[in-house]
Amino acid sequence: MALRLAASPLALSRSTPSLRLAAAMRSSSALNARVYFHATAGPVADSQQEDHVRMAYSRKGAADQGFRSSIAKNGRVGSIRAQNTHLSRSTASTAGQTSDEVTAAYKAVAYKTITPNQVHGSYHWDFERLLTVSMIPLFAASAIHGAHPITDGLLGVVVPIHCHMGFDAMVTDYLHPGNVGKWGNKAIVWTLRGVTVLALVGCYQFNTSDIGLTELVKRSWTA
Amino acid sequence: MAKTTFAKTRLMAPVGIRILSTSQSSQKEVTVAPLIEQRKNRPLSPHLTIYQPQLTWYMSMFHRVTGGAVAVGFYAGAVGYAVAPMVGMGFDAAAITSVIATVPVGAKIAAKFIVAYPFTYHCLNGIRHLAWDTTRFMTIKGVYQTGYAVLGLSTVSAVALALI
Repeated sequence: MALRLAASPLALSRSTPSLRLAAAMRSSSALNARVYFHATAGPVADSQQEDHVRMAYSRKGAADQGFRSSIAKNGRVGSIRAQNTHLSRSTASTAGQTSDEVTAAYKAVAYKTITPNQVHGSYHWDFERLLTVSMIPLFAASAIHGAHPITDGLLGVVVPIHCHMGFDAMVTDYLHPGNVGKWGNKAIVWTLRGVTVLALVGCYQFNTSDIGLTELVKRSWTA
Repeated sequence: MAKTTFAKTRLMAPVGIRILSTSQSSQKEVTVAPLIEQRKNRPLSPHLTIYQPQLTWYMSMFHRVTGGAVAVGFYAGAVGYAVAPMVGMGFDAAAITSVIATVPVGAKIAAKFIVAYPFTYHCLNGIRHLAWDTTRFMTIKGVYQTGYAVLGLSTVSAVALALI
């Protein structure tokens, strides 16, 4: 059901024993088993083997490079072995391929992998925690001292950004592309950004042309 | 007929069997849109309704809910103030305080508690989260003790704020 490569009788009759074995393993493999090909050092493969191996991967430019660089590393493409295994990447290192190259070579078409970026990773986390920690003395100073242009101005920046990051986390969890589609998610994320900008503008205007955030809370609470 | 064939070869294949093709062009035909359509029609397994109620995830859920509620209120006020001049609506501090002054005392105290409690709960639980980020209280006992502390303190402080 899966590989047309294996299903074609012509391909089967011309393929090497190792590939027929691989094809047989693949079509009869258990539900959660994965079949991997990797290149090993050994006798030089014929061009037909290379073609079969190339066709077995869903291709991107990186996959080509990954395969070629692994040839460069190993010197030659040896006999292609298939393994039936439940584990994921343990065979990659033995073939001299990095996990990125393996990932690029075996990339399924239904999903896109994202290159890790610290700006969206640990730096975002650091920024979020620093902001949250800064809110504690800010609220304390505002409550104790009352209205002051600096604390009000800072509140008008820090609180909207904190709210934005909270909403962003909720959108990532509940309104992701798998749920609402790629463009639905984009629309929601950009709407959130626009609303946050409006909130920042509103806070600035309120702090400058009106009584300020702390004074508003104080007056409306004791009204 | 074509739909079921498509489903059998493209969408309903068991996990672990990779759908491979021998040409570049057919890859581009496999899009994510059918998967999204499937997910919209597929029912979710019960999750929140069947998991044993525990302080841990109840409080975590409440942290997110209160955060969202306070943030929605804050955004409504800020964005409302920003766009009010454009729609000709009078929305400034004086208008707000004069409207609040007309509300009866009992309703004011109740409303102040309803507004204060999410805020105090989210603040104190936020401090609990920050303590976890410094690796403190990362035991079952620590989580439960700090959890009860947050619940108690937030209620007490919300009552105190409502009576100001």
